[in-house]
Amino acid sequence: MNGYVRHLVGALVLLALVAAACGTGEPAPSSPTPTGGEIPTGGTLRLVALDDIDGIGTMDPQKSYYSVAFEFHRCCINRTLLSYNGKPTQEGGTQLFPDLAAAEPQVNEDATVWTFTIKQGIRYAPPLDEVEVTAQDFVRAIERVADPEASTGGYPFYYSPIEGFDDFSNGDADSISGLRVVDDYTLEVTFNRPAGEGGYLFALPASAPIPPNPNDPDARLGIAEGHTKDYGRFQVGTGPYMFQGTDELDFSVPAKEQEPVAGYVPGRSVVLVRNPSWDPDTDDLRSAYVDEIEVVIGGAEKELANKVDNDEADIAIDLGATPEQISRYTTDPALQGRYFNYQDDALAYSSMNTLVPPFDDVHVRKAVQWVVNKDALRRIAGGPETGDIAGHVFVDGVIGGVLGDYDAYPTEGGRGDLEKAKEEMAQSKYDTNGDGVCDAPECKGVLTVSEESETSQKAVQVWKDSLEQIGITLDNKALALGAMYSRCQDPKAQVGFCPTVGWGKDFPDGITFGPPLFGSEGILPGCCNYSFNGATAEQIKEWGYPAGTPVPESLDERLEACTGLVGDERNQCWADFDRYQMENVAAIVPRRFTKSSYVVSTRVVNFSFDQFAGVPALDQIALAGGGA
Amino acid sequence: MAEPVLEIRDLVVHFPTDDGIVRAVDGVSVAVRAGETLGVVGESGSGKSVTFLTVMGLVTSRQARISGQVLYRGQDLLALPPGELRDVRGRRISMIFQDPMTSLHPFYRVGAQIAEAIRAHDRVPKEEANRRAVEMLERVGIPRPRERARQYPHEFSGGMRQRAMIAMALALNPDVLIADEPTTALDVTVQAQILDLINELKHEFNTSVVLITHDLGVVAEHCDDIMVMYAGKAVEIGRAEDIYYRPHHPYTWGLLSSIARLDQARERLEPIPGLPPSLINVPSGCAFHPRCRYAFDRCRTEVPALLPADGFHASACHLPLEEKERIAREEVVARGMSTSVEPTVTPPAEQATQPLVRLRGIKKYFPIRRGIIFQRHVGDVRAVDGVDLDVFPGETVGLVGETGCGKSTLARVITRLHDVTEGTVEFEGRDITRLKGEELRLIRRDMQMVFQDPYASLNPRKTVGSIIAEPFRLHRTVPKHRIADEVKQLMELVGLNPEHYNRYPYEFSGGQRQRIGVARALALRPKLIVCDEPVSALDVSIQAQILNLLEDLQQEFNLTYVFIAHDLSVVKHVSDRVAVMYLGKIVELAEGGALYEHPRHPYTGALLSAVPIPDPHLAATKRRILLEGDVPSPIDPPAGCRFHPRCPRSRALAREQGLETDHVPLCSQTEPELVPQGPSQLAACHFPLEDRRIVGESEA
Amino acid sequence: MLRYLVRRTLFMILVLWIVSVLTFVIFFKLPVRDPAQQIAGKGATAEVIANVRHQLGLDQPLLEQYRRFAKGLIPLPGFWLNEQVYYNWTNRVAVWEEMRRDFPYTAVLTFGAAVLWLAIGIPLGIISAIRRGSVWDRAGMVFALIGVSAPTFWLGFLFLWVFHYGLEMFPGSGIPPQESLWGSVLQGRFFLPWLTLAITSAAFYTRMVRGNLLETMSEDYIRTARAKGLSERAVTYRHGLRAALTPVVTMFGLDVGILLGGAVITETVFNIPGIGSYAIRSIFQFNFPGTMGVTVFAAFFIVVANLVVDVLYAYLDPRVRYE
Repeated sequence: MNGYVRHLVGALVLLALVAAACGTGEPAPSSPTPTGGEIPTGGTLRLVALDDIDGIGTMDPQKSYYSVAFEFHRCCINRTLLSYNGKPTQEGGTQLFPDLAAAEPQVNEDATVWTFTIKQGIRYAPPLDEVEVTAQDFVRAIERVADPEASTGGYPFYYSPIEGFDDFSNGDADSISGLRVVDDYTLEVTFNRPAGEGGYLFALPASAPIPPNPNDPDARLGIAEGHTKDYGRFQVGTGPYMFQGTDELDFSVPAKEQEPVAGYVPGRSVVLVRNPSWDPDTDDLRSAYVDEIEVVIGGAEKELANKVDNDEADIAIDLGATPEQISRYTTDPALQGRYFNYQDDALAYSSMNTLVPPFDDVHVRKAVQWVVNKDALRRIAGGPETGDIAGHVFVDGVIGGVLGDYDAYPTEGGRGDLEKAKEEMAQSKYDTNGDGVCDAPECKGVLTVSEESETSQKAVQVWKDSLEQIGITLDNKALALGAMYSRCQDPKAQVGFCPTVGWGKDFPDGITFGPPLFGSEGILPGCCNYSFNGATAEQIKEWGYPAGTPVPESLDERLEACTGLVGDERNQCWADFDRYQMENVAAIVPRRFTKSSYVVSTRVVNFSFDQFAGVPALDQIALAGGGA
Repeated sequence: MAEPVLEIRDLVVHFPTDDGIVRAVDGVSVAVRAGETLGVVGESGSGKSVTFLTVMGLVTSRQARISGQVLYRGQDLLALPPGELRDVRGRRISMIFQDPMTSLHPFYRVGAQIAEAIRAHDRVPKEEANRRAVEMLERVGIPRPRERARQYPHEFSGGMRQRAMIAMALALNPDVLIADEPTTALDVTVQAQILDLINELKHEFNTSVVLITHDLGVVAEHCDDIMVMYAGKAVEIGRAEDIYYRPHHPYTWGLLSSIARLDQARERLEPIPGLPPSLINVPSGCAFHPRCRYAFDRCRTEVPALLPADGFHASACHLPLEEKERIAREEVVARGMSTSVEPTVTPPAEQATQPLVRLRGIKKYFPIRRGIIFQRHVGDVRAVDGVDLDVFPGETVGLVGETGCGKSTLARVITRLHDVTEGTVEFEGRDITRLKGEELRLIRRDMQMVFQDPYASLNPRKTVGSIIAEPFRLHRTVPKHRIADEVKQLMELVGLNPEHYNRYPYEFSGGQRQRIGVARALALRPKLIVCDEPVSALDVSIQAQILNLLEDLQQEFNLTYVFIAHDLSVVKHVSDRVAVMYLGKIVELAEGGALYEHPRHPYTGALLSAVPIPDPHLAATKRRILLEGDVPSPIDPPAGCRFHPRCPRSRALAREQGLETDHVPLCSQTEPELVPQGPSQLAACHFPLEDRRIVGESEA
Repeated sequence: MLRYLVRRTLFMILVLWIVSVLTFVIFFKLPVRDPAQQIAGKGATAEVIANVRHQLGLDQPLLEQYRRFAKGLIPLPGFWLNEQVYYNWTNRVAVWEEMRRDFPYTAVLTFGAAVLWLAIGIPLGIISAIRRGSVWDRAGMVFALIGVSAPTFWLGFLFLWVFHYGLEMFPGSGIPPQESLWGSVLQGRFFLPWLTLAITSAAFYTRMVRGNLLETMSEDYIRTARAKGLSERAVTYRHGLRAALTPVVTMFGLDVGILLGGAVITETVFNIPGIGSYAIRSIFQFNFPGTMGVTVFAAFFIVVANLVVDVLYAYLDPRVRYE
């Protein structure tokens, strides 16, 4: 999730710079189909990136936790049992399809046992082009996820419901009992609770198979053995592309003496070339039009944008469109074909701490929900191109769009409703005279932590103006992005209000929104429950809140109720949860379902947005004339 | 009379500047005769240097408007194309400059710099040029010339550097050597060496010499002809005897009377009043008239022509010739000639009173540390190494000695600017050696210093008023609202216009700046003023003004002075008693007259003999003891008598006694005590000079 | 001289040590956030964070942590930026490997720019000084004023705009991943960065050379040289320049030393993967070993440059030679 938040925030910062006036047009119609029938193949897709393609991590499939890295794994390097089609939501981009799996997995009645059959004859990239993918390779991957030595970072918590995963992780077992290799082409996974999200777990890069080491069959982690820190540059996958120089990896020498691939220099460059072992006939999901993909990492934002404008680069992969580009490309008809804007399944929101007065009173929280001018906040951020006004928390992409336009606090144009806000405030214990304006001292100078950028601070000003109408004033501390998050996350900091936070999905399931934002597991050191629902009385005391602070309602049971379900039932459950929390807890003020914008070079045809990773789908993109 | 080698005819050099035209040289005509020396004398800014820089082609038509002729063997140098002029310059006419420290290129070896001069004119191989450079170094008296040629200028002492400059200038055996203030920056002993060297070489190479100086005393012994310049014009030209014994121009008279003379008793100097004129706004008529006692109406309107009085001797003055001769005879030369050798010694009665300052066993060592990380103490610069001295109220004690003898350090010890290493400092009977903080501050009120370089010791960003007021603010002796008045009174007292209260130091001349320094020192009405070379940087005429001012103030406020100078004439002029220092010790201490009349220490004798006397006849009869070499390092002073390695007397005695060693063992082994040598005279010497035997006659 | 060098070297070690302590203290005593939590990721459990903390050694006492880092500063094989401690926290690559990889770019950038700025700055300074007040002088001074006052990043973008996007004379920013360093040089990719870096310095050197030369030409020893009858050319070049350029050597040595530690702005603008880019990335990614490595690396160059300059200066100026 870290990666998503990084991505989200990056986009926010940029989009925020757009002058409020520029958001004139509707989103440009995405026209991913190329002119003419046949999609050309060949050529080198030239990407530029502000930063490494894997923010924290090493392009290590078990550790990557960043949207751009997710895309590179999905599109190119690592196939998984299940996967996505590299398309936006409306084209099935959030649906799972069999990939290395021969068919849809078999799931038992209560979703505790998932059985995968594996396609036969899938071979790894050279030098392991003689090695076939078997069930044990997936066990190896999940064991590596569980290995505390090997797996610093990543997202092992998602796999923790697999039976025996925690025991193995703690060193109490030699293997993960929930992973059973039935035969070379069958893997049975048993969960210790109903696991509706099970399929998604085997579409994440962490579940990508790790080949055994032909020179050292005993190595438990296969070729990853000995590459605790740097497997990313030694990995061998099954995708249509591989790092240049993968074929020169030499696994016959000890890990220490192996030379990493030339095609990935962290922080500097990536070169992906075609994987000769990849057989398009086995892969229905990836088109892999281009022959090579290269990424030049680094440079100033403006300069990267210039390069795309000038056709020197095809896409700025982790930058998106700059505010200047958005205004230019949305207004100039000649440029509109090169501009794309997608819902990216992330939420910009503001969070109230239910332990800090006056937000310990639900009426005050509801008053805040009513009074906020979301339209003004969006205009400051850059207008409609930056997203749609949000009325709930769970983005469409994680619940299959079940909630639609549901808004628990609907107001005219999202501009707020002072009357309703005052009605709520009047019912709170902090409005002693019942005039709808808070008059208690608790409402004065509420500790607020916000991001320090100019745009964020403008947004805080809008918040101040809104809240003042119901008698709440803010004591705002502007911090750097990282510091802002760690302060909001720290219950001991007793921050009352975090107006400039955001959250994005990891995979298209409500579980990536519910527990982190509302469950007790999202409280530090987990993430990112800034309202602290689910905190226990002991914790509250330990964190130094005053005696008598009411224990907020725990939502854990309601969350657990959903995790066991599958399919539509599951989506409906998350939606019900969202309604419940919006109407009864109301600690999170959803501001915007954000959108990402991209500008591409004139060479790019068949642009597609991968809804899973939330970035352009590199396997779907082709180059006009094959890049010639 | 010899034929002229170089003749300047009606030379005019005008520099256009933003403020107006600087008439640096305004119609000068003079000739340099073959094998003779022309002295050129005048205050700073009189145009003497510019005249000869123009002769050298170092002032060019790009910088200045030049007219007239410079004839070298009949050829007009000013009309020569640059290439040909360059060939004359350095080869036929060469020049040495005032400051040998800055006049040699610091990055090149001395030998190479001389060889370069040779190769600029003679196409000889490098080895040949180098060989000749070494020869020249040897010729100018530089020991171990081969080795020295490979050294850099900074490894040379001041005197050595000037010798090297001379070697360079004479390397091509030029017809004319122009020496621009060649000894101003040097000690008197070294000055004597250099002047003698030039004289000697002049005879050897049959070179003509132009000796530019501001000090009439310096040129008396060495010049055949003298030109006196004022405001860009020659005001008097004549043979040396004419200038010294029959001077015809009031300015020359002024110059002669402002010199503090060693051969005369202490009496009040007669300075030339006022300041040299600005060369942009030269006074009308005779440029000297505003400062001239004898000026009359005509002087203010009409520029006097340089008219010959008798043959060669000419002066530019409207006074009738008879009048000039009368004044010269009766008022100027007679006064100078009255060499009353009677010492005007104040009897030592004052010694009964308590001394104002009492120094006992003063040592001031500056430690030398070496070491890579932890610095070890490896030695000391023994700047002052055991000095006893009493200074009585109302008297002036002079401190003399060559550079590095410790006189300035001693001055700073007295005023507690330095802490002593050993010994005690008493002031008015009170031990102030270890005073600190408030007590020291209170004592400091009573003792002030006046420094050599008035410009460097005045903060350029402060007005003169606030500079003088500084002590008031520091010591809060005067209420705030009265400070301005006090300052103005002080300014008036030292001869500054109180209206200039708000001006900045750069707006004042050197002499005026020294007056500011004096005013500041006087602000707290101190009992003691320590003057560290207060007039060394000033022109002779201005020197006299400041010396007179100090004298007046002493009488008015009953001040006590410790007066430091390297110029023995000046020290003699102002001091009641004189202490001669050598390598951190006082080697002789005596009443002024006694010291100068019969020095006991051979070092004092040598010092005195080196002082030029502004009287050509007297100078011709004087015999000079030239000290060899430079002052040894104060880090490791010679054993025994510190002076013995340079002592002509010890050397002569050893020779007389037929010893094998260079020096008498007593001198090289035992350090002499400072013991009485006759009435009120102390000297530290095993073999003091005998009475009435002036200046090294026994060493011939 | 040897004694002096030994002393300077010891001093240099002291400086490096102080720099390392300061970097360490700034990083660990003024934490904006917890590196372990940052690296473990947002959804990490307490165990994972504890594990990361342990792996990074952050659970050890501060002194022990410093000892680990300090060991990596000992310039001996096995110690010097040893991989066990000095690896990039964000991508687990050894810091020395990354710096070794990035340094050639910085070196090419620095030395190329240095040649250029000397080639521009010194002649321009000399002409300005010799023909003082001429059109040349005025043009030189206008150049110097612009060069000195123009911010590097602005110049960089300006050059990109004019020479790349406008005139299409030179390649733009960034180095294609498959191009070798020399290939990039031959492609002219370094030309605009060199120019950018050089202009500012050249302007500075022009002013410095002009000022020094004017000052030197009024020295007494120049008058002596003229009085010897040397040609004006010999006077200017042999006597004037020699003294005027000596301080330039000092300046030059220090400038090169500083730049070798990373030309941050230019590298960023032109996206040259050198030490400067690495430094910026390390700081923003909270990669402490990288930050420490670059800091010490940069400090090392500055100190070495100082040493070289001292030796060179002693060689050039005999007055300081034997002290």
